[in-house]
Formats: sequence, C-alpha cells, structure tokens
Amino acid sequence: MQFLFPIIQSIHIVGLTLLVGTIAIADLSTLGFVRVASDPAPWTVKGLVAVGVTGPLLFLWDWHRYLSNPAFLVKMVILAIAVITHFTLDRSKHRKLAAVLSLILWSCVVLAGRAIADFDIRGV
Amino acid sequence: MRSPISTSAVSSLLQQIQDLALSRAISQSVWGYPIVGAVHVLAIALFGGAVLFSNFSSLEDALKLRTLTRIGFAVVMLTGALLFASNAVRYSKSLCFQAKIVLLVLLAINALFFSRTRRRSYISLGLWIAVIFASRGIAFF
Repeated sequence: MQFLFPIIQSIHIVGLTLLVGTIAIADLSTLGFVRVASDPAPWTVKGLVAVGVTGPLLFLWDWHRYLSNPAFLVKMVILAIAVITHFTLDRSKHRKLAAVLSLILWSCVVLAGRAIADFDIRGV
Repeated sequence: MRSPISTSAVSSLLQQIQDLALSRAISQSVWGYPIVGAVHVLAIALFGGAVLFSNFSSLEDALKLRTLTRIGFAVVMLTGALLFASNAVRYSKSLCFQAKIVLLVLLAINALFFSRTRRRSYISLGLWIAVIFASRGIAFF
C-alpha cells in the first residue's frame, strides 16, 4: 500500500498544474496580458476534480501528521480565503481585483503546498 | 575499451558543483531549499498549464501564450538547476532523477522536431504526467 502514496501525490501535482496553470491563464486574460480566444475552464474543472479527490485522500492517509504541519495549516487558511473570495467577490464590478487576488492566492496555495514537505516531521 | 569520460571524473565534477558557494547557500541555509523548491513547483504549474492549453487550443492562442510559456520554462529550468546543484551527487544517483532527465529529453525532442498535431499533443501530455511522477519519485526512491 505504501507505494500508493507517491502515486496519489503525483496525481495531485498533475491536477494542480491543470488547475492553477489554467486559472492563471484566465486571470492574465482578464488583466489583458494574454487574450486567449478559447476558454481554459474545462481544464480547470479537470484539475479541480483531480486535486479534490487526491487532496482529501492524502490528508486522510496520515491526518495527524498534516495537522501538526504548519505549512499545511497555512495552505488550508489561504485555500479557504481563495475559495471564499472566488464565491463572494462580485466579478461584474471588480473583474481586475478578482483576477489579481486569484493569481496571488492560488500561487500562495501552491507555494505553501510544496512547503508541506519541508515542514514534515518525518522529512519525506 | 575504456570510456573517454571516466566515472571518477564525473563524480568529482558533481562534487565540485555541489561545493559551489551558490549550491551550499541553498543546501545549508534554512530557507534556501524550501524557497527554490516552492518556486520550482509554482513555475511548473504555470508553465505546464500554459503548455497544455497551447497544445489543445488554436495556434493563435498558443502564440499568445508564448511569452508566458517562455518565462515559465526559464524559471523551471533555473530553479531546477539550482535544486540539482544543491545536492548533485545524490540526485545523479537517483533512478527516478535519471528517468526524469530521459523523459525531459524526449519531451524536448517531441516539442522541437515534430509538427503540431493532435498526436504530438497527447504524447506531450503523457510525457508531462510521466515527468511529474518521476519527479515525485525522487523524494521516495
């Protein structure tokens, strides 16, 4: 069973690449840096499904190990802010602000996520 | 027949890379490796997302994303080289790291020498996933 852990982690990283990579394209498009014609959202949804399934699996695998990891706790707080911002900020009024916040918050989720390995007590 | 490049020359070169002031600054400081590692992963998400979207959308969209793709590529390569240098001896011995380099070469060949087709896009996607699996494996094997 132990070999499953790196596999689920790998799927999580593939998923976050789809999710955050295409969110960044949508945000940069809103800000006018790149104006893509086709919608990246279908890829964002695929990425969201992948991280939505693998994330909780990784957490449940060793939940007390994650709860004692400061990087994990920081990631969850930023993730909560990112999700709340996504659903509460009125995009029709604050398009550019929403794009800037989304870029910053999702980037910080990835940075904190990677740092989980550095703050792991077992040092994986 | 003896190889023109001796194994001891390679391992001494790897040791020298690892002993560079820059490499030691990353491996021996508290925040060096975590920061470079985190930027590496974030750049992979931005670069990978842009490459994937470029592969599966129109040529015009791909051209518009070229700046983002190039910046992402540069940051991934730079941070990757720094992470490697910080622990060159250990990484070069890792089977997963060696597999990762082979996969990256295949990815480069696919991107540079083949024309933009549906098949190339799927090969690129498959190789990307394989590179990520190999990369994660470095921490375990």
